[in-house]
Amino acid sequence: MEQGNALIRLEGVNKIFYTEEMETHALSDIDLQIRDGEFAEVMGPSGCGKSTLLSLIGLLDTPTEGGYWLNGESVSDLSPSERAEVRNRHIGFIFQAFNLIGDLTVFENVELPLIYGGVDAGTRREASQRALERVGMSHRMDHYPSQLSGGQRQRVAAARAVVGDPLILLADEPTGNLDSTNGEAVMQLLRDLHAEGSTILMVTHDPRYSAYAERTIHLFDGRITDEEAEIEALGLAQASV
Amino acid sequence: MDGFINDVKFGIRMLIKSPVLSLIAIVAFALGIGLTTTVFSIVNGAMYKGLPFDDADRVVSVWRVNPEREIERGGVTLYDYVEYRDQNSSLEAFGLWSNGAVNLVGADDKPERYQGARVTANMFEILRVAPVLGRGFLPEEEEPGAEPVMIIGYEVWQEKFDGSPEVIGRTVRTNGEPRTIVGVAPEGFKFPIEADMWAPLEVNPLEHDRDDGPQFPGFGRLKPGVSLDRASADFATIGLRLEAEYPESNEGFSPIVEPFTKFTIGNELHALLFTMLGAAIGVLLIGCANVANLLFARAAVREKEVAVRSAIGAKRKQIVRQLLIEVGVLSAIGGAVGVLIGIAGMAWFNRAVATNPPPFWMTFDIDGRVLLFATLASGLAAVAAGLFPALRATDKGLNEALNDEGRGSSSGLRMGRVTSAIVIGEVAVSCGLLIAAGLMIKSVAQLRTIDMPFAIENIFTARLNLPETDYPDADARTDFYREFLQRLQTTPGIEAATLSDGLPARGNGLRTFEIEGVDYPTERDYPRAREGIVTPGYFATFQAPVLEGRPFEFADTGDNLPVALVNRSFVREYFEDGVGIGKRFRIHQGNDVYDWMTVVGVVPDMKMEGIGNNDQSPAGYYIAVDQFAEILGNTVSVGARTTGDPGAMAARVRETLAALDPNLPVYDAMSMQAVIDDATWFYRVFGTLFMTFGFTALFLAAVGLYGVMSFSVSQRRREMGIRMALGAKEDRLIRFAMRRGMRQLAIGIVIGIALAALATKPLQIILYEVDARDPVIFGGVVLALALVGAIASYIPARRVSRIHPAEALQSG
Ligand SMILES: Nc1ncnc2c1ncn2[C@@H]1O[C@H](COP(=O)(O)OP(=O)(O)O)[C@@H](O)[C@H]1O
Ligand SMILES: [Mg+2]
Repeated sequence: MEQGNALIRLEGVNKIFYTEEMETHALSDIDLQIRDGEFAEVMGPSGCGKSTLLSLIGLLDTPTEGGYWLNGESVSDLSPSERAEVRNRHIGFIFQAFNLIGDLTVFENVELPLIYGGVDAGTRREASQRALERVGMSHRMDHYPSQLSGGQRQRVAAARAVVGDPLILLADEPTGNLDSTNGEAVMQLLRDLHAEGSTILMVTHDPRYSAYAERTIHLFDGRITDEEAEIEALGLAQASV
Repeated sequence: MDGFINDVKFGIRMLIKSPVLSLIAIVAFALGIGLTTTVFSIVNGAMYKGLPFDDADRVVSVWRVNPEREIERGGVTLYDYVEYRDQNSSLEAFGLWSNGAVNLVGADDKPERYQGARVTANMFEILRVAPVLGRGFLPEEEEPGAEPVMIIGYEVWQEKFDGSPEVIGRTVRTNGEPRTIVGVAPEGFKFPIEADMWAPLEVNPLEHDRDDGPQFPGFGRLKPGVSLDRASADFATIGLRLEAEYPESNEGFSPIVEPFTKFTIGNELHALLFTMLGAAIGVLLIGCANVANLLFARAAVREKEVAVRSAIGAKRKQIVRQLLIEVGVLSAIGGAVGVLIGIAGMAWFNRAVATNPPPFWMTFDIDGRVLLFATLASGLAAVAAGLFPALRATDKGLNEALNDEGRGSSSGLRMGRVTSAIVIGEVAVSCGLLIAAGLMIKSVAQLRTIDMPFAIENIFTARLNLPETDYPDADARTDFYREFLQRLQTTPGIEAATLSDGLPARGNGLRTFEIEGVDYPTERDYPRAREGIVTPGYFATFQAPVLEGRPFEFADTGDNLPVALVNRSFVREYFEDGVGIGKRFRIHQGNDVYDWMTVVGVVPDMKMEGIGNNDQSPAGYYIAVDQFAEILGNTVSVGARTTGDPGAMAARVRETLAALDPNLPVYDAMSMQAVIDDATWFYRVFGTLFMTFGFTALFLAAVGLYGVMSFSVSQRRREMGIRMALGAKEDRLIRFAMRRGMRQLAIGIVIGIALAALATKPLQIILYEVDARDPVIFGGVVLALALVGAIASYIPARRVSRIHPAEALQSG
């Protein structure tokens, strides 16, 4: 497997939530790099900051402190509208709760990122169809999410995540709401996508699926604890200079 | 009962727990109930209170109608009166009344002007009222030649006679004639409409021919057990017989018997009152819709509580009751505040109508019936606002609610539909009300800025009445008018003066006439136009130019050729060649045919049709007081152009008059501006009411839309989060969040326009020179509502679009 340059680089990232007289240090001193083509997973107990980390990487939220480079460019100081554009063009999300829009059909859900990206209708149709074929859901195009099983919904979500050919797929416990058969199938799908060249960062706390990833980042209480990963990341940083 | 008290207690606790919701709900209820109560008090006073007498429902009016001659409520001749009185079997007693002004000179020798009435001697008996002092009239006092007696009102007794019991037996001068006071009516008694004193109506049919002579409205009291229908049939039979027996005088006339107070509220006013009540109820419904939407929002939040309640065994009925009582607590508080608003509204309304007092039985206040109405309105409002949300909160499957996992698309959708319908309805009703308000605003603005075709600034006006005893004939009156006018014109501070039968803004009466050389096949074909009887100086005083020919001159006397001035519309309507000067026409009213008059001048249209009578022709003519004093009668209006403040003129005019005849009171002294305000009070008062409805509706609808939009957007926060994650930008999200609201707004506006189009007819009578379908108003309201609606949905949409996507995704 070919491993490229640092697609994602976080340096000294902190995230503090301020709520009703309480400060939660969700992430502390995070230095992290993800290379192009990598399939990485974040593991750790509940509440350790996994989702927060993914939100920051996905530009759904901003760090309290620290720098973030995506594909070599700093994305720390973008306006909300620029951030929306980056999300639309470069990032695909798969959520634990599927997060399909109930009022839209399967096809319309998949098409949505392309609409926001200003893609023309013909191209949209083609790309959406292709994405649905990739996840094996093209026969359910006109169904509504409520008419699908959990596994099917997650496959649709995956199709929506990849439809715009993003730089990276972010998956937050994609199997969390699925039974083991469906979970297995979704993991298989991620592996296939990875095999086709997608960079994937996945959160899971289910050790069963750890094996799918090439690299595991351990998170504990908002800090990366896995030395191996850190060393690896540092090594890579030196190599790329 | 225990349960009920617990429910109320819990309701109050919930109310305190969400103070914002409670406050909004109370304000919405209060405004709605307040306006409804105000309008109902008006309707109640005008239509439901009736006469304040014992068993007053049984007091009826008797009129004669003649559809052929377009007589809707004509009086009864003395001949007919005697026949009806003696032959009917349905009334305990039957009498007549007539209104008239009275110049009273009391102990202080100062002449004063009062409203008086002549009534048949049985008035008190029919009304079942007893005088507080002295006695009522005796039957023989209505005979010709009887001793002149009178009864005075309680108020006059107090003010003019210091409430002294000595007043009985006192002789005073009324309209120049001595009369002996024999009784004092009870406080507040002003029958038939606004009378301060009463004299017997002389019943002497033989004085006139059958088809001539005065006609008076009849009144009587139904015998026990006799219905209105039976009395009508009874009178109709007599009427038919009279028609057969005396066709020349009675052909086409038939009697109607109706509840006494009915004649004061015409069909149009009746329709207007109920349109107003409908409008107020519309505001209340908007308030209810607001509260319902708030409750829907809360129902979603309280699903768990409701589920727990039912899990421990509450029946659905009990939970619904609990939820309804919570709303009831809110509506009860709102209703109480609403009654306070009603009290304030009545104070305003009474002040507004003070210059034109309504008939004495119409008193506008918060009585028991109004309180009952307010209570009912509060109760119904609570049910209207609370029932749907309560049913909705309780219809979710127990498991579903407790697990809360099924992010419900099905129940969410159903709720969406009801909320949607409520929003649409709310927009529709406020759109209708706003259009009404818009029309009123234009109408009132029009009244303020209208260019009257005559001078208004620095014009003093007043009226005076010459008693027949002192001025028995036309000659005596003409002499007086001439003398008085000459003195007026030389009074310092007065530039020009005139005497006339009426004032420009007040409108002139209609008269039937014929144009020389035109054939009128039947009596009905004679045209009618407005008639003004004026002295020289009329047009100079009101600064209206004589467009062609000449104005009246002092030489236009009874000895010379009768002349007339006509207005522009008259020329247009009656002279095909467009030339007025030199044409001749004459008054031809039934048997009264006067001499031919020659048109000597053409003047502008001076609103002879009156202000606001848009649908009536402004065509009219003027004749000279000196030549037609007989028609003019003994009441004239004074008009004077002053060099200074017209308000200061009253005293001087009074002096001028007193020098001529100390017994004559000057009354209704006011500036021309006041005359116009007076002539337009109706538009202003009801216009203001509708404006209040409109703005309250707009306010409530804006608050409601905002609430619904906030809620619906917050319900969709998660979806917004998903869309953000997928890269939707802010403007796109805002548009998305607003789309549903804007669609509801559009549908609501369309329905509202239809609603307003339905209400145009009753509204027309309070619109001053505004078409009830004015496209500018309709367009303006649509724009305004769309704007307010857009803002109300933009603010919550923008708020949600600004939150961090990560946060939005976590919600729900
Ligand atoms: N929006 C937020 N506001 C306040 N605290 C938050 C918020 N999001 C997450 N947290 C807190 O940050 C910590 C990390 O949360 P999260 O990243 O969701 O954990 P994980 O996904 O690993 O379970 C937790 O203590 C959580 O309570
Ligand atoms: Mg998480």
